[in-house]
Amino acid sequence: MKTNDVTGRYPRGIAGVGIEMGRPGISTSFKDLQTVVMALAKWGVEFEPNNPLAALIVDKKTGKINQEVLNERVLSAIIEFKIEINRLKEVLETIKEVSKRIDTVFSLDLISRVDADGSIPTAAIAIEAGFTPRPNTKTNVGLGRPLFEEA
Amino acid sequence: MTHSLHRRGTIEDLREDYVLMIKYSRDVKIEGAEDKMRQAWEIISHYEQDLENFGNHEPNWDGNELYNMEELKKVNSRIIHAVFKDREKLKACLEEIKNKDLGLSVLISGLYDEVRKVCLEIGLEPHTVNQSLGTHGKTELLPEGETLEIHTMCGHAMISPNLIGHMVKEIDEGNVSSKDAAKKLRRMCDCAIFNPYRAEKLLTKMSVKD
Repeated sequence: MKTNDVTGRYPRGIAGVGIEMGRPGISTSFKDLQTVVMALAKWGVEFEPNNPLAALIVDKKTGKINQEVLNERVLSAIIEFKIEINRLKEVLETIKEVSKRIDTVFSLDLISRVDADGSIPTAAIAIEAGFTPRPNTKTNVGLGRPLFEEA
Repeated sequence: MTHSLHRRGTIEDLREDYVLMIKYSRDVKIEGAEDKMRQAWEIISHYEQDLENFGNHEPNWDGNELYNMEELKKVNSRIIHAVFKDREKLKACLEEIKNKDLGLSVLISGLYDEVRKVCLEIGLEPHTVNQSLGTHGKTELLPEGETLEIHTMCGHAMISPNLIGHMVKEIDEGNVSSKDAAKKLRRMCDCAIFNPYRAEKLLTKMSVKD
């Protein structure tokens, strides 16, 4: 999202979700990571292919992680994917549910374009799914050029 | 990487904590990007006295300060970080960057309502946001209170809660001031997004409490 003003990677109607496993500062096992990835795979989400984790997800349909690393730990690993906004609520509810089945923490990120009136269209959906959006964001102010034009 | 997104604190605390970031896309080529980054550093240098921290993620570990503004104006930077405590100074800097029309992507981490107001005041509109939905799972594992607030000022977890505890002990024993302890913690954050001004206040609060 840092350069979304020029790449258009997150167009209107699409949300980006980042699950920062192990953060802040606790670390995560790949076993816990697999638990979350498998829960999300059921929704057919498209995991970010350029994320280092992508190479370790050996079965994209089930979310199974390479068994060789399952007992390893890392300080953090970010599960990233995009989802249509009209499917976001169910996916966030799944994330809420799976958070009760892991032995670590994760910090949760929700990316979207800002509406013309300055509102964040995904915030209300997050609330419906049982989350409390924090008042702080990372905001791209749209100065990148050439500005990506949506069709 | 979302290293600046999950900073903790009250609304009042976060009113003194803004991370300005500038970068260019790897996928969409922009002519003279590296030179434009140097021009961005030139603008930021006008506010050097107002910055709490700054850097480009490639620190100098020779024992002095991690970054030198004059050097940063000459080297190639893939990313620029600058931490402001004063929203008016942030606004002035952002307006200069806007007027220069460098074409680089510019981001601000901080309170959305304040950042949006800053944008509107200088004729900008927020384009895309990454919003924190907090931390979940076994949150009982997390450090508490002010320790967590200081710890999350470096999203890569380079400011260890144990080191924060050690610094509080050092302050209590009179071996170091809160200001110098905050400076020592700042050195652990390569990205230079740690806010030592806020950290000093929090360390003082923690030491008084003890």
